Amino acid sequence: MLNTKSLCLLFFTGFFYLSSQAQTLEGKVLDTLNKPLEYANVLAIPSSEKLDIRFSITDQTGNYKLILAKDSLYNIEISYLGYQKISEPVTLTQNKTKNFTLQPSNQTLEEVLIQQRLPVKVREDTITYRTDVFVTGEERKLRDVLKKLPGVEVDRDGNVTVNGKKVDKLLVEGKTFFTGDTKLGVNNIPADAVDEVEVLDNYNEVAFLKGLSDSDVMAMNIKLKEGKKRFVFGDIEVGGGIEDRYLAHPSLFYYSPKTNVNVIGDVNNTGKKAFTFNDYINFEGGFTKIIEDPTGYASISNSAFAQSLVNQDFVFNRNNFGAFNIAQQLSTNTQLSAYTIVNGSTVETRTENENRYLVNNEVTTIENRTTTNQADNFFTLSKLELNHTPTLEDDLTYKATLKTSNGSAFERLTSLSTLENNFVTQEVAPSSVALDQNLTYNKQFSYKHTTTAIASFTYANNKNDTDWQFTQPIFNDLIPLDGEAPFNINQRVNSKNYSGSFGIKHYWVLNNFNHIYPVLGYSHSHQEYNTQDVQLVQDSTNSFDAAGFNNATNFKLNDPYFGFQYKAKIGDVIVKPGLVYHYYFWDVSQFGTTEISAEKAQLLPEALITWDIKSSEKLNFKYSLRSQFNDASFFANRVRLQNFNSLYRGNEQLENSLAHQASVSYYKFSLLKGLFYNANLNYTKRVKSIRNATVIEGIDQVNTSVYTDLPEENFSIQGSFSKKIKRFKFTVSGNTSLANYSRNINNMVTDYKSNYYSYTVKTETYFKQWPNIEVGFRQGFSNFSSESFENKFTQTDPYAILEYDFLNDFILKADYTYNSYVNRSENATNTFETANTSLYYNKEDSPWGFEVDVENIFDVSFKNNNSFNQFIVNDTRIFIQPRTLLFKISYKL
Amino acid sequence: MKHFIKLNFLLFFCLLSLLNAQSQNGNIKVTYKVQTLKNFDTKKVDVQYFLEKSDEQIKNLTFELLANKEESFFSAMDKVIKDTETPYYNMALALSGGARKQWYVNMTENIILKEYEFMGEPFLIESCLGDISWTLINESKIIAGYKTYKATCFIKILGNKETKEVLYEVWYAPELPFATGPMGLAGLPGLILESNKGRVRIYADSIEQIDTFNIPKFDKGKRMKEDEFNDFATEKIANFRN
Repeated sequence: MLNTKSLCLLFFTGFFYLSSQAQTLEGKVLDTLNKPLEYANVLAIPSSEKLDIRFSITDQTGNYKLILAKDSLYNIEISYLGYQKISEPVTLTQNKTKNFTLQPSNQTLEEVLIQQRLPVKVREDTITYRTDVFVTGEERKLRDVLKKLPGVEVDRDGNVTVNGKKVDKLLVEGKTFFTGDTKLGVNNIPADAVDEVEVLDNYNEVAFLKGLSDSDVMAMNIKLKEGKKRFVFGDIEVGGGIEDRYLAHPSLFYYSPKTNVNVIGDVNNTGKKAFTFNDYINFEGGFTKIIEDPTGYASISNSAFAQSLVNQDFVFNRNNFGAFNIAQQLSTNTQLSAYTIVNGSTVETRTENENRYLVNNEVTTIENRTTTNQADNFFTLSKLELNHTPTLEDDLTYKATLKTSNGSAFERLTSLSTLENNFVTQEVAPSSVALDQNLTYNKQFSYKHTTTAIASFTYANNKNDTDWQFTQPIFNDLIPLDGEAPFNINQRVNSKNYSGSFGIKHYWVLNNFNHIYPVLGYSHSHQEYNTQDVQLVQDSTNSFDAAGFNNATNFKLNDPYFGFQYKAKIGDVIVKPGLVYHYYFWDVSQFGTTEISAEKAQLLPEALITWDIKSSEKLNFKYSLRSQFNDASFFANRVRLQNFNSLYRGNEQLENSLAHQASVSYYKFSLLKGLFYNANLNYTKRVKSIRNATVIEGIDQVNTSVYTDLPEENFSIQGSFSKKIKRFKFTVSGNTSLANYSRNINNMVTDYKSNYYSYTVKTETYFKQWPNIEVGFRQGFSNFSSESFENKFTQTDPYAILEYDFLNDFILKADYTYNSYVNRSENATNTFETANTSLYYNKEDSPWGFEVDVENIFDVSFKNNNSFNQFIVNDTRIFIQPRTLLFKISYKL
Repeated sequence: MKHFIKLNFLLFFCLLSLLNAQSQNGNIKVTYKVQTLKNFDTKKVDVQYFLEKSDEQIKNLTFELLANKEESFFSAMDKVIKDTETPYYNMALALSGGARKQWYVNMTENIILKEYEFMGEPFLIESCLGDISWTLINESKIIAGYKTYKATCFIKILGNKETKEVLYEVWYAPELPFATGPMGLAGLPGLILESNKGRVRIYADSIEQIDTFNIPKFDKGKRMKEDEFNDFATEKIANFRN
């Protein structure tokens, strides 16, 4: 009701733009008593198919206004609930004023409601279009339907605007459509299934997140026809290229009001990850979930699986991938969602390292190492989530995640150093199973009292079987190898973890400005860790047991805790201090003999201060004391082989690591001025840490975990500033991180300093017609130093990205980066260039799409990289996939 | 400002309701609550759940009007929100139309000032009481023991391409001679006890007599006339969307 008047205005103005040869028909719609009728629909349906339907809704004084093409025949149809419909032909030669009088209908209201569905209904903040009035029957997808509705515009990508306002969310039958991304629905929902299109104005769900509280946000709801409430859509992409490159990528969606299914398949040897991070977010519940739980995004993106989606460098990569996702509404209050991901892959990598080993801060040994690795891996990831919300006051969620993985890898390693040459082969066969279960219950007793209870149980079993073959004996003094070269060593590692926890948090509202949240919980973890290293000598084995190898470690940790958080608001400042008391007790045993049985109390303070200066300006301060126990492998105090040149021994004496963490973050933006600032400061000071004490000789090292209070501090600051001027955006950002720490190497404590500074300057364009480019310059400086040793690197990367939509149907994309590495200590420079390009053609409204894609245009064979730590300065060449050329064809179902 | 409300709340909390409206010359504090009249038509699923949770939170919103014969001040009462409820509360505040806004009305000088954050910058928007053209309707009902009459008006709000007019339906009590009300609605012969806009209803929950009150300084942000601001903002929104 509210928007009617303005809507009319909007429609009118919209139509002014559209027609140049236009005449105005205006007047009033009245009832038989000459009283104006508000919200009456006035439709002008042209007899010529070339012309568009015109339409107006009367305002509160009964006025309507139509802009019609000159000398064209229109049929004017006026409908109003409870009145007889008027249908009258009109041809305009000049502007005309005409009043219409509607006769009351003698039909009952119910009959009217059934028979006379209005083509456009405006009520409060909702506009409803009945689509069958506007369509011609040739429409293929929802986008084609929307384009025919007055006031609705659809762009190429599938972004929808209604009266110039962007639709932020697409709902189908009142429910988020898969991801809530308008493009997926607009480009895929079959046109013949669409019954009504509802536009919900002032649908503010995401407005406040953008810092634009109170601003208008729109959602569009699609109502489906009876009998067409189920449909399938999807697309398939196939491609091939030089050197036997291929890919096939079908994706299929099934929609019904209660069941949503999404199946994605992918077979390729191009190295492209078929399953993207966005796909993963959809599987995890889509962006809706992230909106409701702001921590959700971080936890999804930090999960191990999401990390694996980040591309790493390889020479060859083949993927066979399948994923299945279902969301099922079991009842009005119960929702089930589940997914399974299955992936089989083969990855080949090759790296060349030049390692300079430092002992007492001097380069003692130089090693040239070449590593080639071929790994086959098969994993499955399944998740089930059951959500039950019987009332608004309580909800219950059960989540179970099952991960399995099986792999085998073969690695060939050549180590040439001033001391010795060794040729190593390594075969590994890791396998793992992990089951994670989680039950959360929220109950709101009253506004003042809400309780959340969480119970979880985890089971994990990891196995790894490794076979090494060496041409030279290794660790002569420590490993009693028998016989002649080649030497074969077999290692079996098995770790099992059973853990369970239970926690309760109570939200207690004391008054408008003070809340207190008591917490209470208990967690228990039981880990079994077994390692065995043996030499394989012909038909028998040579045990290293007597040399201090092999572990059968049991580690049990209990952690009861209680504490509270206090939340208060003082003006625009929210303070939230907290204090939790933990009481740890743990046991470590080796081969059944208890070695440690200890207990310890730990008080952990935390604080959060938020200052909401404005909705567009915020300052946050965070502090916490972090405590953490490492897993059983760190307590396993007997030796195991880590690599051909390193041995590791845990330490049963370890306790919890402890660190102070503080951060300050600030942001400010002004959309009005096109200005954005943000800055973050982080500081960590370790009180107690678990670090390696290293004994190094030549290229060989022996590491032992120690519980230490050696100083260790990290400080970092990041900031960025950007300004938008017309169609250009300029950004400057910088990053500094400083670390000071000490390590125990060859029984001497040495202090180290590692500093990193970087900045980026870039310009982006936002043209509508012209090609858009982003040009930037990144530079980073790394300095690593100890008392007597210094290493400096500079990395400089100018880059450019181009995106150009031309001739309506083509999209050209290209990117180029120039990479330069300078070792300032030695004045050595390495450069390489990376560039990729693609050209995509899709005639609008056609289901077919064609693409040519070239990766690694310059056919660069490796990337250069540098790293350093306390005893190795490392110059790495990572080999990458040679140039690929691919032709792709896609078809939309 | 928030301190001040809290202080007043503590110092002048008074259970006396107004004894006789005719003899009422002093200062009053009116507490308004919000309710939503009905829900969206959508089925009970995720969106519905979000909106229902927000409607729950709307019940927890409180606004306060401080008024005497000459001037009045209207703002949302500050409070701290549980972390788990913050998105719903923000939604509720946005739905009510009172997020990050406050109003000052001077009845003798005929001025309405609205403090408003627009695209990250504060503004002080000035309009006249006379700009609101009230249609008085001969319907009445009793609210909190006072006989009230209905009036309607259209208020210009920022739309997308241009300003749009939104219908407000209010109920005012001539027995309470304060020509003001919630959300800068003012100029009627009596205090507005209820205001309806769309599905959101703001209604007086309590009326107290207080000794004195201070009006915070309205000096943040650029001061502009309403029409001037609407033109300016419409242009900025159009630029932003391009």
